[in-house]
Amino acid sequence: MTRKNSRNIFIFHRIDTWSGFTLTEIVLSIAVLAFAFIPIIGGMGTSLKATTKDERIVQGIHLAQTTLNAALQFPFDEIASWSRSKGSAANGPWTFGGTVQPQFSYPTTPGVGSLALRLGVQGDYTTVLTIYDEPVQFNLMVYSPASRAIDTKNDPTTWNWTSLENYPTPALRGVYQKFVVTVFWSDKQSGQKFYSLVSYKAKLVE
Amino acid sequence: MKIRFLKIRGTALILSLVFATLLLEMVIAYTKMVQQAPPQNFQIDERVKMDFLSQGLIEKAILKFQLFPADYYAANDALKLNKSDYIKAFVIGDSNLMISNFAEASSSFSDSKINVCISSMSLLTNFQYNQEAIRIQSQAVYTGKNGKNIEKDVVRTVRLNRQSNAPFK
Repeated sequence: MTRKNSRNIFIFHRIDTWSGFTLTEIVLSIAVLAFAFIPIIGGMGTSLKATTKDERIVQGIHLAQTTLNAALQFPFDEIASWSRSKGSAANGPWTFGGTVQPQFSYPTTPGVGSLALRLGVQGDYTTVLTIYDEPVQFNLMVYSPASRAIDTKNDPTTWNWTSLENYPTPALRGVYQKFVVTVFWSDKQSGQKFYSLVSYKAKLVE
Repeated sequence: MKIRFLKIRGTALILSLVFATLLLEMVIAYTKMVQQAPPQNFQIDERVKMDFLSQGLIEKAILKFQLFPADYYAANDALKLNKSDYIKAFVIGDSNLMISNFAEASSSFSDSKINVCISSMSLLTNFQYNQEAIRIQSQAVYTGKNGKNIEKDVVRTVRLNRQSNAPFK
């Protein structure tokens, strides 16, 4: 026998003695992998529930944001004056929405578009807008123009500054309003949920 | 070496156990990562609340400027002469231009108190185009669920138009 033939016989012998996997081994290994997948699938189910819950919260936040943005775009006191015309208190607070679905609109460009504000029940969510009239006072230092006019040394300390605390008295009314938008919805597991956003609007000279 | 390993009985079981262990480790790492990441709804909530409150306080600052423009301009002129006390008193020193421990913007999942103040109110003048504007910056701060302070700066620039009300030209 040559050296080359003996090597061929050796390789042939090695191929002939390769072993495989038994059926029992395959079944047991599949069972182990299946048990390993159980917590993974359980985790996926839990994260799906959490994602659905988060989605409702995010939708509520976006609805509150959209509503407040629209309400702030209306001219100052436009919405509150509607409530006063229906007999509400002159100094507020004025509440809109809930079970009643008022719709406000304000023409922006004639014949083209208008600003719209929708409150009340919208799908699974209920939106409420409350407007409060906030009293306004300031702390400031006022100067004397006459003293400044005679100042030749450019020294601001000689301008006769006076400190005013909580000025004016009584506080100004009807120039600053607080807008509170609250969105309500129901969660099957944890019941009634709500989300509030607050902002302010001042009566500014354009 | 490889063939000898495959000849041993039960290698399929060992391989499957190794893969199962690797999968379980990946699940544990993923779960820890998800637990530590802040939920997106809280981040959106923080951003939105602070933005609206800051914008509302900036409106009040603009109202103050519109009611007392002469005193603001005088304080600004004093600042140019290196006397900053008067502009500080107009802006930062006014407790009415602050909102402290504001809790009305609450929700079912968050009741943190927010603090907002006007941090600066500066006059911008462009002599080339004869334009003037006022830039108001507001800062909102509140403590997040992880105990860290979360800050947000909101800036609003308003164009000014000065008109003389002198009885003569």
